Amino acid sequence: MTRPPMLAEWLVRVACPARDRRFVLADLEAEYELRGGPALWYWRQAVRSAPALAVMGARRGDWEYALLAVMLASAAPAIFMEAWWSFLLSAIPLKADIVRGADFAILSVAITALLSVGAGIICTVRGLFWAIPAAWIFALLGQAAVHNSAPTWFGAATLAAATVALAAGAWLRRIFDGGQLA
Amino acid sequence: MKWILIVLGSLFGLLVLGAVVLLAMGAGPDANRMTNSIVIHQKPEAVWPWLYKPDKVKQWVTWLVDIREEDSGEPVVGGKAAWVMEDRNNGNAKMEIVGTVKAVEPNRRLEIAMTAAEGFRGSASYTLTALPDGSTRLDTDSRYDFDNGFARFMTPIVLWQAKKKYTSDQDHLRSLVESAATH
Repeated sequence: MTRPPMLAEWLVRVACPARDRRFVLADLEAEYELRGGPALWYWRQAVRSAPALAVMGARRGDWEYALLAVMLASAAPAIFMEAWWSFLLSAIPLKADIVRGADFAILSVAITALLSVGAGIICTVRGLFWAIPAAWIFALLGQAAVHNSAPTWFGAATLAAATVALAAGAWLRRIFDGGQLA
Repeated sequence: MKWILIVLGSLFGLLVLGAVVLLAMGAGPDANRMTNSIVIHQKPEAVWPWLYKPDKVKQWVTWLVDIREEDSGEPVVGGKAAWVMEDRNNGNAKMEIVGTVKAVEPNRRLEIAMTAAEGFRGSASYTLTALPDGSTRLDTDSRYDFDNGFARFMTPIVLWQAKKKYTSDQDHLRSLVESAATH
């Protein structure tokens, strides 16, 4: 009995949702043996199946994607903006203070709002119940992690922007497809 | 999944749009140029020492912690000085900028070429113009080329922030020169 090509088998293993992996691999292997172990056939099956299996896994993990989107929309801007701004200010030939101005805060809040609209679209209106508190927690954690000296209104403005934008995104999706996960 | 792809696609589109705008802004011949002009209520002779004397320069250029000169005294063409800057945005790292005098007209104009290892190359000129009311107009004109590719790409934003810092420093210079004259 020959083993299926290792790399092709790994491709199926990675793409396939965990709960179906055992059955999919067993089916493929049984068919592979019946056909006399043609490596090319196994490769063709693996390459053709991988995208469909990956999409199937993503559909089942909707809430995970939504949680990831909320986390990225609320915590990532604080961390990304701080790193980016530090780089920009560090590049100033005669250097600059560490204090962040209103321009930094406005840009950061705008990016949070933009990403939160996207996260709201992914969450749907049903998900707002947990998405908004999660966004607040992630935003506060992100801001605490970077210790920047932004204007005092920055923290509150970020939370408000994330809340409004999440709701706007969710309602936007509701308008387009009635809040159903596609 | 459809909506995730729509959101990711839109964000990617915005990112590309931002990059295109930055590239367009950075493509102009004067994209790396920064100019400023202030009026100081003092004669050019009173302003001039504030442009090169280490003890005076350190008072108005923030985050400048030391100046090491080859020769002290009036600037001469070819004379070099190393400015040691403190970078608060990079863990308080010290950075040295070596300035070489390219042109000098006492009480009138000073032009310096600058280099910072793994940082930038640039030039700065300071021009003093006596005004009829006894004041002086200080015009500064500088250009910077960054060694780091990402910093070069971000030049319009770096210079936007740099201009804020330089304007604040020069406002400080004005108040120092004007108050020094009254004491």
